[in-house]
Amino acid sequence: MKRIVSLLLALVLMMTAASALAEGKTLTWARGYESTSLDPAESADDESNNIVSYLTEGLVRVKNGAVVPGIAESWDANEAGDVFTFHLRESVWSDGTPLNAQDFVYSFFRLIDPEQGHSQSDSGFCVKNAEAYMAGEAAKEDVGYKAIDDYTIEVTFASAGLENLFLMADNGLRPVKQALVEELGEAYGSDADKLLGNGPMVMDSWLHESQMVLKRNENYWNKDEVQLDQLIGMCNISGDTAVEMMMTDMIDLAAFSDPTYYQQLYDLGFEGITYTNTDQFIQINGNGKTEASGKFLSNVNFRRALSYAIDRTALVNTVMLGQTPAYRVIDPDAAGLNGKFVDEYPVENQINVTADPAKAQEYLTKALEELGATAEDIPEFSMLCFDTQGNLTKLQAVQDMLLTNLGIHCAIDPQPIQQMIAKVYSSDFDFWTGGVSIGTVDAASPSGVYSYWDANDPDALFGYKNAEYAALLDQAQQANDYKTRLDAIAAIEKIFIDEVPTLLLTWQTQNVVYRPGYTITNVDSGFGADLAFVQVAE
Amino acid sequence: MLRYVLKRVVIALLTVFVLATVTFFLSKLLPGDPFMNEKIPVSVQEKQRAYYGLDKPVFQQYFIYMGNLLQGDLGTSIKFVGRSVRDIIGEFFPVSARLGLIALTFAEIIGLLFGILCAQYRNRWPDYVLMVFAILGIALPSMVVGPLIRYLFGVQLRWLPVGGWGKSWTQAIMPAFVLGLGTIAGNTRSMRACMLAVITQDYVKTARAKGMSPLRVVLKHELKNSLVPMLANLGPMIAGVLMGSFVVEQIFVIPGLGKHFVNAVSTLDYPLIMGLTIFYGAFLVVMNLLVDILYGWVDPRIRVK
Repeated sequence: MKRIVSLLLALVLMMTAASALAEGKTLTWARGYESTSLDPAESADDESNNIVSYLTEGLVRVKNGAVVPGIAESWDANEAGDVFTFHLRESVWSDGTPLNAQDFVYSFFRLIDPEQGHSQSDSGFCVKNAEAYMAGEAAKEDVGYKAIDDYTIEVTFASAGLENLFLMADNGLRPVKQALVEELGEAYGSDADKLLGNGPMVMDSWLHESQMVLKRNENYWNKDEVQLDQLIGMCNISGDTAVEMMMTDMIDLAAFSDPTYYQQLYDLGFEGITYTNTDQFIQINGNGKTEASGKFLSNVNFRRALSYAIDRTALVNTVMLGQTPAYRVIDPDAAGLNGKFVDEYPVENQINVTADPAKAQEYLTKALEELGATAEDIPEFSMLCFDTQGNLTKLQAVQDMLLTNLGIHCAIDPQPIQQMIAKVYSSDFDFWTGGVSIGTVDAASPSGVYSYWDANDPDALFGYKNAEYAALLDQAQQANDYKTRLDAIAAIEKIFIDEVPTLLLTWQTQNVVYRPGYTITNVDSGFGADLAFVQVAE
Repeated sequence: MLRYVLKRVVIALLTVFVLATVTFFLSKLLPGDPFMNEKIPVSVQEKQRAYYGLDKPVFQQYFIYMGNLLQGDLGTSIKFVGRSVRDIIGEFFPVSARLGLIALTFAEIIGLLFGILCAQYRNRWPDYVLMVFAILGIALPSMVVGPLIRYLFGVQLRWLPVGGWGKSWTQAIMPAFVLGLGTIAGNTRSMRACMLAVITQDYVKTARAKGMSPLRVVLKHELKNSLVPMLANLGPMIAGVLMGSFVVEQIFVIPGLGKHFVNAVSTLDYPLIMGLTIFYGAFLVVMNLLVDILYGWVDPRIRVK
């Protein structure tokens, strides 16, 4: 009997080992929601962008804050820094067919095709005349994106600047195969068999709203760097569900911003990495929802009073758990020239992390004097937010702080997402809460924190006008050396802290928690952990 | 009978038409714009609106939509780029329907059984216990019961998977229970009331007086006649349960149709809002129609009326 039991046990163990071997190195991770499109020209949300970056490879790739070769194995720039020549390696699509410069040129002009109106077309606007071409104001020949030969692409940018090279890594500029796009039309990127990539992973199956299986692309030019055989993304998992699925071995990795979730996993022996991904604000509408509110919100001393009335530490301890009170704009993780930005560019006049009611009152008095108004003239302000529990509790806390420390009344206006956006666009708010991405490279990136108050941007939303700020932002974005760029960023930060164009509250950190045995080698503040290049212990 | 059925079919078609028309205009009244996005250039937003025909006058949009609807074209989703509404419904409805069928079968059997027991033991302890269960089933929302049983059976006892769908039949147990809980409770209460009404009928008393065994009285007379009024609720109940539940699908990570009802509205995905509403409405109407026909067949007095 004992012998039979031993034999059975051995059989079970062998079967388990065989099954594990068959599956290879697998990572199963929690995805918050379903990707809406995996067409690089249409992929608009984080969960789509992540997958597109695993399935495709552009000319370059960003790895740990640096631009590294992608399909371009090298590049040269002219002296002015606005023309780059990319030298492409010989590579293939995941189906083994050759990939060359013409594929990139086709993909670029498809992205900015005026007839198609792709949602990610602005990814290409860094290229000279791309925006004008899309608006019908420039000819195709005038657009600065050309194939010199099968393996050379010359890109002329709209302006010089370090930024350009980073922008070339954007998902929107990833290649798509012409024959497949023409066959599928708008359905390209909507299913596992309706896309083709050239990146580290290849789509094996996609059960919408449920599970996505990616496998290692054996035709990827850098396949030796890819250790995982299989990446399985399970959809619509977050919070409690993610914690319980981690505890019951159903998934290996999940991202959290709330310590209520990640702390219990760390206590159980899970490992993780932390990074800062957004600045959390209460945006001020300098124009005001009404003329009466705009009069006060456009006054710099009034805005200073608001800032001093807010207790950022209390917010973090109560309703914004796991975040860090922001005492300046640039977060402590941001890179400087040689070390950390915050060490190389210290600020004297820091944002208050606790409330200072006396100073708040002092600035309010100054503001009222300047405006020739009394406290009774201050209208009730409207606080707009996306209708979630987190936003409501945050705004309720700030509402209470403004009432207690300044006697200012606010009404919270929770809205569904599209209705909220419509209100923002029509300036139908006084305050609006939300997070702002730190940016592709840093705060001065076109997608970064500072761009929201760019006075040169005709679509700027918050009515803040400061010519010096706008000039410094241009300087940062067009700088050809990193020091000039960082100097400008530091100068903008001083204006930002002094003039309070918005109420910066916290730096939000993200925790990527995973089972021991994995190592994350690349993290991006926008997209999070790069799972295609996760290392796995033997 | 044929005339009765035809009359019902015409009413059903009319109902779907009115539903589609009202939903179309109501969805246009929703504030906001699905293409408004700070990251998308205004010129691109205009092109997107034109692509979906949203740049045309509302009445023109309506006639175009109804024309397409007559050809079975429900349009293309705004949120899920390149995916037709028909494909979305076709992909997710079977999941919700399968889960709903399991939940409904389980809820019907248990609910009827509990209702019979309550009626048979009226005002005695089995009646009280089961009615407390029925009240709890109605009072406790799935957002409370779901996470609780998930933690108990999934995490603590490790008897059942915490979530997911399609890998093992055990993944359906907890969501089906939570989904069916309210129905069990409702059925228990209805069945109890129906049966109590039947128990006092003369033919039941006669059957007992003739010496028929209590079990046979229940099965042959009481149950059969109590089920007739229960049929009336069956149409909306089937449609409701089979269409999926936003909460249950969210808690147990099930790729069903339920979440799209909520998300389509919040993202202003007009074609999906319309498609889902029409599909749900049509399904509800068909279920009611079937129940009506069944009802007319079971109880000829209704047909005559």
